[in-house]
Amino acid sequence: MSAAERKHEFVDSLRRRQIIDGLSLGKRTDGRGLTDYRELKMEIGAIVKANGSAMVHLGNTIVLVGVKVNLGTPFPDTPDEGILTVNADVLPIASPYEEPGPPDEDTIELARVVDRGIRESHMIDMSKLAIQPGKKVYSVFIDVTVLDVDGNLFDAVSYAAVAALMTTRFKKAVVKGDEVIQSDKMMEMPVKTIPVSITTAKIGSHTILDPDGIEEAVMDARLTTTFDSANRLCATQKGGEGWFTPEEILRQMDIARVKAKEIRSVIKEAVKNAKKS
Amino acid sequence: MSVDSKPVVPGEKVGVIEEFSPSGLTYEKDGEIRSLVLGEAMYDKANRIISVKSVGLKSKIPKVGDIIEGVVEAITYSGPVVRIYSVNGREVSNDLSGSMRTRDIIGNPVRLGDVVRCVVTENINNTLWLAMNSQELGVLHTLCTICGANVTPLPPDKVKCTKCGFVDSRKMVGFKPFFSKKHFINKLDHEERNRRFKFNSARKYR
Amino acid sequence: MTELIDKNNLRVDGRKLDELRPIKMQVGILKNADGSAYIEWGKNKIIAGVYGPKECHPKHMALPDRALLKCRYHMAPFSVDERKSPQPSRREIELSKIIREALSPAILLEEFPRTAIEIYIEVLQSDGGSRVASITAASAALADAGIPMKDLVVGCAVGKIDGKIVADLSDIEDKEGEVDLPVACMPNLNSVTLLQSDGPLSKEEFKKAFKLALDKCRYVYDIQRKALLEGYLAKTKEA
Repeated sequence: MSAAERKHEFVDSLRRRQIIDGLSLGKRTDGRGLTDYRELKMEIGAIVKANGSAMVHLGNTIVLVGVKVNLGTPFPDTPDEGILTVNADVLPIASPYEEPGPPDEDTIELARVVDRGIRESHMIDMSKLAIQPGKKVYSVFIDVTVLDVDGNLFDAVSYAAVAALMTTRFKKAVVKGDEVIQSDKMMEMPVKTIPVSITTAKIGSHTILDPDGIEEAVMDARLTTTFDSANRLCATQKGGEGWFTPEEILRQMDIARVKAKEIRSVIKEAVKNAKKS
Repeated sequence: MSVDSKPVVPGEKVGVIEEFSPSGLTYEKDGEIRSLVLGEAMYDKANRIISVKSVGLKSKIPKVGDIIEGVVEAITYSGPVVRIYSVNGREVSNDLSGSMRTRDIIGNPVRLGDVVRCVVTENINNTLWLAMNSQELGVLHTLCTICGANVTPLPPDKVKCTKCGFVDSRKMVGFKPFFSKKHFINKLDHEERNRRFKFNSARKYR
Repeated sequence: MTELIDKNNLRVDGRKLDELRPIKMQVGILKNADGSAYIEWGKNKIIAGVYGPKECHPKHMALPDRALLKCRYHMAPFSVDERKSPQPSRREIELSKIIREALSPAILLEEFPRTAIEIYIEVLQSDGGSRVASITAASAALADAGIPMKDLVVGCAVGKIDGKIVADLSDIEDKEGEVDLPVACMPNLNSVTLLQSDGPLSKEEFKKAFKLALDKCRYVYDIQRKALLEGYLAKTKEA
């Protein structure tokens, strides 16, 4: 059953007022501008055992994503498409409010929003992941491990997952008679577009991008939007126990659309460097 | 006096502040008065007041002065805890509980499992405080602590078991409230209480 | 792929592009619950029940300054084509959270500190757009329970099928279509409390779809309001 459990740092109303006062002067707790992202560092291919991996530092938030590609049987309603699964895990070391155990609703939401961003932007050409339609397909597992929580997990995980997928290489499977076996030839993930997730938060009447831990704890509501390479909106998720006016939503999407381009070039650059080395 | 009325849903506009002033179960936003509940909007045209009358919650939350009935669920260091099943004679299902302060009770007026009738003396953020300080309040139903048989009241402050004859102390309904030296101290004025407290604590920590 | 819109701009079930499925609502259908509502939206059949404000369990979760809102969205095993396991799926857990966050801005939780308000949503039959139907039913159930609210919350989904923006996707349109965009709002306060989307939409398309969704919310609101007033009159007649 869903209930508002305390998952963030404790914030009293004084802290909230202090942050709102700062925002009205255009200042944030860490000195950023309202629409600035924290420093985005990407370490691609850190885990060699995985088919693809990326560690993303977004300010103090650290997430690690590993991609594994297996062979599997397709779902009956999509016999000629591969399988994509996103699983998230916020480790107990990541936050004092996290405990070991099955994923809670926030973690499930995180996994599902990232999944939606990748799936609905049609980032991966799923039809190319079919080996024997109806019988054998590639099954792509994206496993997210959150190592440190300081706000905006949605974006950090999304960037890491996208970067990991773009550098994923796996053994190509071939059909031999009735059997499907893995060959020694390597294959790259068929990537069509680069989805970029941008999270905006509403605190009082202010809109900020990339909320950190303390801002996430005081925010009214959050809007996570994902844009593909053609800058079309692919996935949206409103969160938080507040509301937006329709005008606010349209304005935030305009800001996010511009920002997405910027972030996409950062991801592209990082992937290019990783592929070179 | 003319009072018009019409049924409204929450959030429905019932008037503007230029014409009426908002009252019970309404709120004002951007100059418009809106209802907070499903109910009947009452227009008091003589006094220019709008209020909304609601059927109210099915399970009432007790207010100060309400008479509640419940079962003694625990007896803690700070006093008995009563699980409430009825407020002012109406059954409730909200499972709330209240406690009696030790300073409001003398001796052992209730035991675990007793059905009691109490008055609400305080409601601090839905933390309820109860008392049995009048003749019509107290234990409605109890059994012998030793053998579980029925008991007969033995005024002014005892009950006797019909089977084993054990005599226990209770504040039954109809018994006069107990008085004791402790109760007397409660009635003292603040200065006197502070003086005694200081004296006691000074003795304790010396 | 099946054709979802024919050349006369009619959809598979004969609806126009901006036409909603028939909606029927009734409140106060359960005896024990403090508030309840039933909605039939196309083939969706959903019951929402509200308990509270009541004692918060476990007690350490109680909040000192407001009520704790709890919400459970649950689908009956027989509500979908293939039997669904009665255990909560990931989808149901996410929707429970999303629905709770869509309803909580409307409720005056500060009125009932240290208590809990519980919302139970049971989907008996599901047919696309069940989350917005659930929100509509749940907010009616909250109002029926007499809980003070700033406004009712209503929801409506819009989407894009065969390249056209349409209102209220049915099950098949949701599966075969390109975009699903559920929206819930407080119609009198001009505030959106739920917004999700999946599938590519250009800037103009989103604007158009979003506006259509808000318009249709208004339409659903009228149905919801009528059902609530009917329920209220029946209740006062009884008393």
